[in-house]
Amino acid sequence: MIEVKSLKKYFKTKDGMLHAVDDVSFSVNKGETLGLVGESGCGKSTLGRTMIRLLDATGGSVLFKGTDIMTLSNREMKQMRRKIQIVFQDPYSSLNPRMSVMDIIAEPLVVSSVFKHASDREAKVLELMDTVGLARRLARTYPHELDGGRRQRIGIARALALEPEFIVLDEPVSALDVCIQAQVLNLLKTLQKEFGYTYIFISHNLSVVKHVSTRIAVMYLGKIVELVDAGELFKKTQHPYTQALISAIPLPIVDSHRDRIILEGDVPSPVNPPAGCRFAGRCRYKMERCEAESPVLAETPGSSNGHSVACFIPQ
Amino acid sequence: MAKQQGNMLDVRNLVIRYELEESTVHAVEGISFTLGYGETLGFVGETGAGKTTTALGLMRLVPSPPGRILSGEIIFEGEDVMKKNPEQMRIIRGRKISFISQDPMTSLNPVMTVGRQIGEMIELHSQLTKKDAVERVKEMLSLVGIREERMNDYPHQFSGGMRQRVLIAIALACSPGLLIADEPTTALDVTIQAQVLSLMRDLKNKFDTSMILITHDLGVAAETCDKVAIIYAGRIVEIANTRSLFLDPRHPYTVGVFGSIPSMDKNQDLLDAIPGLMPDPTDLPPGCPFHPRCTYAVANCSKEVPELEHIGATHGVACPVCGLRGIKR
Repeated sequence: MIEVKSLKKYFKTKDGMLHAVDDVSFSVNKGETLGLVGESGCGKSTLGRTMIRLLDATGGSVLFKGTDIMTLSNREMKQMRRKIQIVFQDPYSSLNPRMSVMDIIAEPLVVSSVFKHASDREAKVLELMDTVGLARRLARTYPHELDGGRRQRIGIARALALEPEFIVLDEPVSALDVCIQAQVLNLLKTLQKEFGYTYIFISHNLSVVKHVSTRIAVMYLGKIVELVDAGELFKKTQHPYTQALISAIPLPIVDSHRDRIILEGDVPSPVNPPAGCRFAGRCRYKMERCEAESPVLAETPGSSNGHSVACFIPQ
Repeated sequence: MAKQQGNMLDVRNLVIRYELEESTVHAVEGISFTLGYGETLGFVGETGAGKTTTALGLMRLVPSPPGRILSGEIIFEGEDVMKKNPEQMRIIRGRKISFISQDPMTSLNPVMTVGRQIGEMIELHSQLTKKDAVERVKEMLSLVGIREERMNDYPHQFSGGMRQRVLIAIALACSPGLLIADEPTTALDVTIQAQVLSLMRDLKNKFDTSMILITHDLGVAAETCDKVAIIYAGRIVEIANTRSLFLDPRHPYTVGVFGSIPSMDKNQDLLDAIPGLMPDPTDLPPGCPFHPRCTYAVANCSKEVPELEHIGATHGVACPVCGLRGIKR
């Protein structure tokens, strides 16, 4: 359904080019959830925004059902946006505080002039509120009167208003407490089953990503380092960074007896990143070649389900 | 140093409220617990459950007004903290009890070098000469894994994880008996969190410090704590040593929180989410604060506030329905 090819997004900074997303390629199948996971600053949100043209790409293409959306005119893009929506991370700052719940959810319908009559539009909004589990009596309240979970439901209802096919979920539950997070995750899964949405689910939380995703892409410093079926990522981890990331998750169990890999140092700056593998500086398997040459994301020989990894010495 | 016997801290029936013009926030509604020497206790709960207010209350740092400690005893090393005057409190804070706050970005002074910020603490609370204090600063920095040359750098020159290390160095500079850490790794990425937690564990053992760790993450609690208190709407609903809490949770809320966490080994379709929301602390329901969301509630649950009852030597549950018989899962 979606094919991202060599997508790049650089930002100019006074110290040089910041390589936020650097030559990333992958595809998303219809009806699946692709999880995009990585630590802060790895470029996952920038990738999510660039691939739906909320940011202008520095290079590369994104095919949505065969059409390259990077080359569409503004008018064509406006039509395309009805099919492609996004839910933002922060339910506190992504809703206009001066608009009522009704107006926020109705806005995409107004912008795309879907309904002639205001009464039809309002009926649609109330229906959407039912869908996402917001009580209809809240239609005239304002975001500040509501808790984070309800606000995130508004953001979801707004994204669903135009009956999209593809939704980018950018850390949709990160600002929520675990109990509310569970409610919202259940809602997203139920909606997908009912309406067949295709999701990109961006998160820094591996257990959440594992729970919702069909396949998972792990990002490090602007690049995808590993891409595979959600279950396999945890059973047959191949990239040293993914291994460290998985081992660092604190699990809510006792007697786990895991070997923990504690990475030293911090993620290097994405401004003028080093040549070679970007993880080399923190990698315990580093060889000379890793610092000279940048490994390309490629399917590992003998894998039946397209397990791809960007490493010269996959584990 | 031989481990001291008995309890370092004994908190009895602590009640803290924020009295606002139009309403009263019932932040802490009668919390009691004990903490042994060298022990780590976790406070786990959702935003607004009263974890941070309880911690601030222990040091009498609840902002007043509007906050007020209505009642309760806080016996720290045999003396009631509530009876100390401001001068005595200043000596306790920093030297005997110190605090690490959640946000490493805003709790350091941006116009002061990190060396000065650690040194400030040492000069306030010890008799060391300036020269010895500088030596101590260097020693603290190397203990938390920062090169001593960096003592003349400013906070903005450090990453989030490094700043949290600086806060740890400040907190431990005077070898306090009790360290209260409020979500010390919440603002950090998971690989950096692993570094900081392992550092905290090592230093805690080295200095033989007791610790209260506030977190919303049961995973962090499982790894770090000897015992865990689950806090809901200003009350401890369950408290137990970490093993029994994780292997045999009894309170319906505790069980609900476990059900809400996506599992790493099982494939689940939907999570067992708890319906509804935590009650508004200005308008708590009568009886058990959890009863409106509880599937096991009986008529009496809306009438009487359940007391924490011991179901084992180290396991207390505030639920007369499920405490003893547990919940089949």
